[in-house]
Amino acid sequence: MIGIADFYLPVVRPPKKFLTDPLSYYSAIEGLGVNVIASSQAPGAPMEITVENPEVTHPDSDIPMSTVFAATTGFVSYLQGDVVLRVWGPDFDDLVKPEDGLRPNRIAYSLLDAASVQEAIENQIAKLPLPVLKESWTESGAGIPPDDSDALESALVQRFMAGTASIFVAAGTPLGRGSTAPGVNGDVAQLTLTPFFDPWGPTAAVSVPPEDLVDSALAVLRLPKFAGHPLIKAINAIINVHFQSRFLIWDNGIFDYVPFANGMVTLLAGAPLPAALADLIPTVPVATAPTDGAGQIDLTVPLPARAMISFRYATTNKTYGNRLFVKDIETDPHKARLNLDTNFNNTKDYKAKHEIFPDYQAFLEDIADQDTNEVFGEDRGNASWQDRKNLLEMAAIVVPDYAELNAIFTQRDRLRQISAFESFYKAEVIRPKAKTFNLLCEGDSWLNYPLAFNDIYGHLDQIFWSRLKPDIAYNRIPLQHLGDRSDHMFLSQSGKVRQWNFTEDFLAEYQIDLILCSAGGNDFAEPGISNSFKTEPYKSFLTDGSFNPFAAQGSLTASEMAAAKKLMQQSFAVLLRNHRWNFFLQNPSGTQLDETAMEAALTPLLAAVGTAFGPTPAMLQAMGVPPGSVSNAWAPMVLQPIGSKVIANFPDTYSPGSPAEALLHFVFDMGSITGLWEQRYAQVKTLWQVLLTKTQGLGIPVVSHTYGYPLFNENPASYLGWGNTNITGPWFNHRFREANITDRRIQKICLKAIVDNFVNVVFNPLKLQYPLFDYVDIRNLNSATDLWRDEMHLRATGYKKIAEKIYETVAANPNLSHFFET
Amino acid sequence: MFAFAPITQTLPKLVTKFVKNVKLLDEIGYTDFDVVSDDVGTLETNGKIAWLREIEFDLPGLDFASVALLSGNGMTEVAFSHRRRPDFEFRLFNLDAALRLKTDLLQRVRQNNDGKWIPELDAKGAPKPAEIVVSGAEVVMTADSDISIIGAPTMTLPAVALGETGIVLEITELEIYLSAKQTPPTGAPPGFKGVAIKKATMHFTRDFGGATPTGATCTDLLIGSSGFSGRVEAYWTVTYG
Repeated sequence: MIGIADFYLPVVRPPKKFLTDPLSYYSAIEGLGVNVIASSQAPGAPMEITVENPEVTHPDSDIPMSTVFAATTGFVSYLQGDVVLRVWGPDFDDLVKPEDGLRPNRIAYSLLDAASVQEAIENQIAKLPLPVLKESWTESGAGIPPDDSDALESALVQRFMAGTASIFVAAGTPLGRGSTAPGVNGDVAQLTLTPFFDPWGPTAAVSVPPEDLVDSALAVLRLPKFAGHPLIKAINAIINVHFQSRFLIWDNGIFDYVPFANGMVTLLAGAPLPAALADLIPTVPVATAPTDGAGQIDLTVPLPARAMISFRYATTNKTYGNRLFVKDIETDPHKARLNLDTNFNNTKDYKAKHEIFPDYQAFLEDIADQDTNEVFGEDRGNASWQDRKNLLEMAAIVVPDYAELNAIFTQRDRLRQISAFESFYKAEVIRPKAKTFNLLCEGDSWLNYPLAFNDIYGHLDQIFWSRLKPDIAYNRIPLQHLGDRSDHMFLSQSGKVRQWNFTEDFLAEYQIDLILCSAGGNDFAEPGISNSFKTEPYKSFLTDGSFNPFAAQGSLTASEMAAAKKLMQQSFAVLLRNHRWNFFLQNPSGTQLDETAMEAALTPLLAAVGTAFGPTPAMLQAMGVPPGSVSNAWAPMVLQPIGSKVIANFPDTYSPGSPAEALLHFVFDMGSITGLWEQRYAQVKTLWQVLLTKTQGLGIPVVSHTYGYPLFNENPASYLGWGNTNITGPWFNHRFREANITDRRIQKICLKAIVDNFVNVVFNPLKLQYPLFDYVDIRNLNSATDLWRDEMHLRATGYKKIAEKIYETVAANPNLSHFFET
Repeated sequence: MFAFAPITQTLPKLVTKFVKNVKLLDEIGYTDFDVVSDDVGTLETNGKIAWLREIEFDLPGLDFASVALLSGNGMTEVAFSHRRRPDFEFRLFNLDAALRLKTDLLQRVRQNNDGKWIPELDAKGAPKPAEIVVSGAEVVMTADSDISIIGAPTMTLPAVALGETGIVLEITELEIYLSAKQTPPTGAPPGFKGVAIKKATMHFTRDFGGATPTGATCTDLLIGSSGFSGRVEAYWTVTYG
């Protein structure tokens, strides 16, 4: 099975092939007279299991129903007549953990027929390689091992039966047969199941109710194998549950739970015997009860032991804390048999709260469903249908690329982290705020670049784990997504739900300690309608590598043209005076200069700034550098010297009228109130202010970083940076060439100026305006070709260096330093 | 109690399909394991991993050397701990391993009874690789594939000849850099992975223009991801007749 470790109930094996109708399969077995009876002497005591007609074989094999199967993978030993399974780590993790209990790391099977155990283990020992058998022989002190594998196997079998050797088995491996005993209708097979958790060291083992182990068969992904299993039916009695429970609701004014006093709660139940995912979600109202002033109820209800139950609070149109609820809220579901004392009293403290994650997930999946619209970049940068697929759905389709699959994992991994954040605040015991470090992230591909650890967040997350004090709980809300612009993150829109609505909601609901934000890069890198734009009718008007609005004008409808204008308006290319999009939007009567004219104009402007910017175009031509974007092989000889010289010799700031300013003025649409350059920076700053105004009011520190100078790679993004499949980009060098700016020295100077100006007109003023805002200047941290994955993204090593710098800033913050080891 | 779970039986079949020498994996296995902690947010497994003979393999991102898990007679066992939550971490305790340097520039040599430095050869007469033996190491791997050696393991590198230069180095102090988190040694680029030779005694096995050097130093000798680099200086006392 994909996505969850194999698990088997001790008796009656599911069929070898994936089931579509487990109810019919088990019903047919019962039709053969196979009946399973199970009981415990007391709640939580070992489970005694009896199988009637044990010699009947499974439908798809000759294995008799008396056979006992290993629940999980692990080592088995034979100790004092019991087969004891040590549960394998990954399998342990996939056992269902009851809210108020433990999972077993040992499972003892008693009353098994010894001869059948030996026979079963012989089959396993036969699979061991010869060197292992010899090692066992040697270790037993029997002298030099023979080469005869039969003798070696036999010796190991004897060791196993004597309790001096363990054998590794896979989940579902037959471990022997239940012992035979006389029953009402003939002989029966019997066994006893005893799960327990044996902690490390001298601490005594803790028993685990066998019913909790059996419940692992009812995990969502295992239902197709076990729905209707005779053992589950055998223990699914009706129980009278006396709810003397207390109900609490989250008050986001004080960030704590308070009694849901004098309200109304409704008990919901799922199917009596869950057979499908829908049955695990309680939806049927069973009973309603008022809560008293302390939030308590007194209610007795007969319920199937394995039915899922939850409580719905009547909260619609009521205010709790700072929130006016627009719908009812529910507690987390659990099986009816859980949270009971020996008299079937349920005195649990139930918790319910406004939950953001379900709606946020639906929001993202809705965007993903409409991924064909994403080229217009309204909601997100690069949402994809792949974002919303779960593992089973992915397995059902042909995944063209391994890396693509992993990209989905990172997306889902972040969603899991958000879900875990909310679950943290629904747990039975919530750690005090002083012992909890809550991080919210918002940003672009510098915080979210598939695969894992190819971005700042992946590394910083690891650093936080390793440097937080041991008693500090760490929660995070990673909202970042590759391709997002500042407006995707911070823009509100009346009548439309956007990302910012969720960010605001998270900030209202929880106490966040730190916001890590990376925003603005895509505001300058947008491709507009480039040659990778696949959507019609725009695609039909791509000439010379990009959309030709002059040619499209008149052929497109007014709304199509408006969409095209918007895309061009927010692009990088439109900032270039000599790009045709700039002429179309800003200066329709102007004429684009050809390459010769541009070179003639730019050469003296560059010369006035200086000459030490690396190889000239003529020198590169003499070196044999091919035209267009340079490959990684050429990068050290072309981009490294130019990049290094530009960083060293072009000023970070420049005065009005200086040669540096004159050069940039010629290239970019800047220098006036209508200049697109100024407008773009102003827009980014305004959007940053949306976040910072909010967070300043809440007293939350925000840390960001500058971008690195993107001068050392000219390639598009590709999976793992291998160049096999291009995903997007390059973002700049094509656009420069479309504007007939071909001298790499000037291209790189312009890119440096974009990054510097971001610091000068966005970050530095924001830092003065908002005392809780800080940024890490990493412009010069990764100035080497081998540290860049593509034109705009670093390799893991580069991102890790930035993460370490950010950590230094965070750990030095007096509001945050107490969370970290010194 | 004897136990051995061949690693091939613990990995998904899909993974073993990509392994070239599956038989080798049959001789590596778990001899013990247990889930030792399942607290809120923490899940940790401890155990022992063992191999039946010396095993040499390459590690991704470690292109300057192969790694050999050394073995005495019979099975070699090493304790491990594997934290699955909240963050991944894998530790091996008290590990004896060798980093076998992939360079022809360093040739393993030994001094014979006559005091001459001669190449060390294996049973087939081939030169033995230069290797750094690390004993008693605690190795930590984190989720971002960062590997570091902590504690103070014993590290030895047998004498090596520097190619055909006639210079033999007996290294008395070295440091291994496996983690990009480490501050790189002097002269190494950021993210350097490899070996920095801190202190070495030099021997001269050939005549340098009729005079034996009166002194010698080596500085910043680095073997690793940036290649083999460093500076060797020798001094002569010259007498003019």
